[in-house]
Amino acid sequence: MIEFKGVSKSFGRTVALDAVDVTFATGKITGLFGPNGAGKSTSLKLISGLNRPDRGEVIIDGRDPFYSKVQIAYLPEIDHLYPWMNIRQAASFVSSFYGDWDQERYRELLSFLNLDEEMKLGKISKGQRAKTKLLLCTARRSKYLLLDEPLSGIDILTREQIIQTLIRDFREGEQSIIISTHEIAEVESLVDEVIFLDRGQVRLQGEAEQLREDRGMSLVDIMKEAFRNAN
Amino acid sequence: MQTSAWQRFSALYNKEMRELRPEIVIVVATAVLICLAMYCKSGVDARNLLIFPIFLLMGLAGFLPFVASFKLLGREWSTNTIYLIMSLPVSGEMILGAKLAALISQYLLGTLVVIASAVFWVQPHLPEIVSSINSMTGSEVTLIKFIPGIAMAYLLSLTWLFYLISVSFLSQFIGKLFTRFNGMITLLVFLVTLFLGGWLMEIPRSFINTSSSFNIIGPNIQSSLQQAVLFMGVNSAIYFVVASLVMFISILIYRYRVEL
Repeated sequence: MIEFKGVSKSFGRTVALDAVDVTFATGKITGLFGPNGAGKSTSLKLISGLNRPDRGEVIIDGRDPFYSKVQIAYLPEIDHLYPWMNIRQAASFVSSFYGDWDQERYRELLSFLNLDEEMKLGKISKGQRAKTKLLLCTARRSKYLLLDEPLSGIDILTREQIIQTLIRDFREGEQSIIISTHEIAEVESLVDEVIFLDRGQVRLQGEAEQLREDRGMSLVDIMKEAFRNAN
Repeated sequence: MQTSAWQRFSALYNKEMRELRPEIVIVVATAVLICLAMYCKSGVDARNLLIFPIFLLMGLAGFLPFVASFKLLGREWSTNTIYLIMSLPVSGEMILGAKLAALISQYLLGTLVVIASAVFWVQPHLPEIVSSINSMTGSEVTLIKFIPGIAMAYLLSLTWLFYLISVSFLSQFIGKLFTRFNGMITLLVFLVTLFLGGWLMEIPRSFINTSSSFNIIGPNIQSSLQQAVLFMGVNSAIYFVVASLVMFISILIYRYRVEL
């Protein structure tokens, strides 16, 4: 279970998270929604141990994120892979650190995503790089999968492939996925739980289906309403 | 579930060695080319011709790992691969240890290839060199007596490199803690740490009585050589201890302060 207890984080004068208390549902897909600068990426970086809270604490299964890295597969928005590596070298590098790496699944995903092992990361398209990042994360049987804007700047066909991969490989009850995005419509059908963030604070949280039922509108409209009220 | 520490370290080490490949190839290729050029010019007094380029190459092989220490760490930030490195389930000791091991390997590979190239070419002239050393020092010493001193000088250069790399890592990490002027801060911290390190090293030196002036010309060459070996041994140990301390502080900063 991932918990934020009174977590605050600032970068200079910019407040990224302001005393956030939130628990991410276990074994489900959680959508972390909000406009740019809401604190979504910071939340994922805090979970993956790339940032530390100024106040409060982030707890993963009762431990500090630093000690939970082995359970987490993190896909950042930026390109974070070595450009001189090809996909085979990148997979070999990543697999050296995780005992949950599934080589069979890697092979399957490689063909499903139409990727070639010999493709050099520095020379492939943005969409192919996005698929490679997803491949390296989902080829693992990780307990937590964190996806930061996985669809940002990606063409519609690749987006579909990425979403299909997530649906195909999600192990319900066993794995928890957190998808941070401001493109809610694209992942609306995917998420079980939602957390709406705005200016470092949780505006709304709940089960996606319940929220839709209660308010009689889509998640996109719920978010618009939540932000309109907040402003 | 985590893989073995050895597997993780090897993956990091191999990745660093791949990053250093261009510099290693330059030194090795230049050494081989110089050797070949000397071979073609064997009609003239090639031994004298060899000294200058070999010294230059030794300097290059010794200096490149220090320069590369800035490249290895700085590039992680400039290419955003630090996101990957910091998300891996490995400690700061392992990340910096792999970088240090790769830089030391680069030094060993570069300098040993240059030494081997020089020895390969100088080897037929060795008796001549020994007799010229003996006539210069005025004593009858075999080349074998110089070996401990040469080995200790090499060890001293290694610990000195370890010290420089540790200071480079520390200054870069401190520089990364600032969003503005971090290049200038890195340089400033580098110079201040070198100064403080030098001051720290003087403390044990003042307790250990090793003279740095040796007279290898004359009948006392034997004891002077021993004294030189002792001096270099003590200084290697001092460099090693201070470098380890600086490295330890760098690891602490990486673990508790560096973030993205």
